[in-house]
Amino acid sequence: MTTSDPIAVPLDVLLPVGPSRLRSLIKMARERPLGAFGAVVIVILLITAIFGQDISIAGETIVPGFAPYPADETDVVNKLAPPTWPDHFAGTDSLGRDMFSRIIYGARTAMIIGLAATGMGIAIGTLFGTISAYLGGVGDMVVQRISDAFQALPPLVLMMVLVTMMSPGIGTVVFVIVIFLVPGTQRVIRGTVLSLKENTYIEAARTIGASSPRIVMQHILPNIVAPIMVLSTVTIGGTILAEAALSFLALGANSAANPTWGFILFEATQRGQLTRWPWLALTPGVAITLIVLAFNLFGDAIRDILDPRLRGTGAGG
Amino acid sequence: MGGYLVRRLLGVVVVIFLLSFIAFMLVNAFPGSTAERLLAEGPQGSGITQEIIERFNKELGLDRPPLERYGDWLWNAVRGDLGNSFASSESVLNDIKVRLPRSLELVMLASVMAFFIAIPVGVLSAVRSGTFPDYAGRVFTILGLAIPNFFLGVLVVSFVAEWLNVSLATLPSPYIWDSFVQNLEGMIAPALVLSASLMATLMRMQRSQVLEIIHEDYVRTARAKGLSERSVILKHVFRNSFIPVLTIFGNQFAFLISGAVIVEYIFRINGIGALLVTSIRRADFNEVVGITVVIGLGVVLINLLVDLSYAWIDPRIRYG
Repeated sequence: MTTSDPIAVPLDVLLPVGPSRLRSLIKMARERPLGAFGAVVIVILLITAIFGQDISIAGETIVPGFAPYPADETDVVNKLAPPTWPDHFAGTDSLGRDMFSRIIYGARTAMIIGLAATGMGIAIGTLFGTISAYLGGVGDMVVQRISDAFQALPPLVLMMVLVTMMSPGIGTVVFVIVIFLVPGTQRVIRGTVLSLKENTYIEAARTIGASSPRIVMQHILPNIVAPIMVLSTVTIGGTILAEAALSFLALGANSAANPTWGFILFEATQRGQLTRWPWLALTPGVAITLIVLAFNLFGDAIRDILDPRLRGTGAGG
Repeated sequence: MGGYLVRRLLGVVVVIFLLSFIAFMLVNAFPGSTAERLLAEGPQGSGITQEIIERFNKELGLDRPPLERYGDWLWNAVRGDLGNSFASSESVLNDIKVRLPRSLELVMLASVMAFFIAIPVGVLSAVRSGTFPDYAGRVFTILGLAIPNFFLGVLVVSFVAEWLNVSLATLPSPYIWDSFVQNLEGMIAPALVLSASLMATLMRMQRSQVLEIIHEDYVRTARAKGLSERSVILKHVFRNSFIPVLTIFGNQFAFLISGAVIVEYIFRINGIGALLVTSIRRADFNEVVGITVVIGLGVVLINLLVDLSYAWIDPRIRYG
């Protein structure tokens, strides 16, 4: 990040407006088929997360979900049944629970954690990075050294320690992933803001007496929207992966009614003899791989469009 | 160079100090129930009273304020004593010493494999852009970055092992200096699983770097003065493309260790990662803090080494 030109990229590159919207979307999909594939998978996952299980408010079901069975409904005569059409599309587990339904239920947790943790992590990281770069001095140094310390901790180790010490659940997992996202995010944003700060229009704003908050809000933030969006999309895949890893170690947000993909895989390993019932491991494993793949591909496409200079910086690697 | 090294080493000390403080406070900030967890494992299991827990906490000094305990811990740690495990009363440093060699070997083996495969394939992929090796390399990159190491590990342990008719997770694993061959037999598969995502990251970086550099003027000059393609690629392109790849390796090292924790757990390798998972489950604070600090030290030192190696790869770089 040593370039000094503004990183502002018109957002209509990404979100074309006007009557030709559909046509430019198709053109974009043709130019970046992998990114388009990622986008399609993400949309399917979003629909599954929202409509897969019942949408209920205060115990009242408003929209029934499309999952064939509840995630914890056992079918005692069909334990460890291989995939059969149409009853148990992806087979059943050792308690006779429908694997396909369990994956559908898991989508909501994966999505909530992926979006919430990424959003909050990036937001807080941006706050720290901007302030740290803008103010400089001792405060900047302290924030950077603490960041160094956090980044020297392997992310999984940090998250495992935190989860164990708190009560497990979605809130805890989100909190823990946020803690791990903030140091890296603030570093990237700090670099961007540091180079922005050198621009003459910032100096001009200061000369005419604009206050620091005004400069940050009016001149700096709008110019880091592109890197923030890029960072967010390439981060979501990693966030979902982190959640799955925690669940796999039985430290995640799993509950009987709402199983997580990582935990379903963990259960498979507990069952053993997986060559006899491979669908136990393959279903959750492929689900996790596919969604991480989709977010990676989509993120790469967004990055190439919005901010090609971030290519290869390992952002989200 | 000397001055730079001294400054960097001071930096390492500061970061490790901060890291130990953060780890210690994190582990202690949530009072939780070390006593309950540990005692629940014992024979008297259910009959835990408040009185027993208090006595237990007093014996381990857990009833004192965290800052005071951190002071003690730090004072002992500086003198090479990381305290004793709450669960086994063994010295934490000793526990780590016994298990560190296997973990180190796993991580080093994975790194070496990643470099030895990723670098040539990455260079080839860029030089022969659009050919079969390029596509193969790129597909591997995309998959390697998406497939979680714990899924890959489960696949290898339960399916590949079955096809090859070996049981990977229960292979006896002596130290490498005791039985070289037997040790490697047990280590190759986990190391490969661990190296997959690092390999993909490095390959991607190597490819994009070479693609960028191959159009530089000095490469054209090298070709124009009649150097063989081999010498152009090796001496001019590769050397200049390698520093960012090495930087990424440093950045990824903490992730590699995370992966090692999971891989040790899946393949039942008796390393510090597996010990960490157990210790976290038992809320064995001393063990967790000790292992965390040792791992953090490793990450920081690797990054220092990466920075120092820049000067060796690119003689123009001087540290002042």
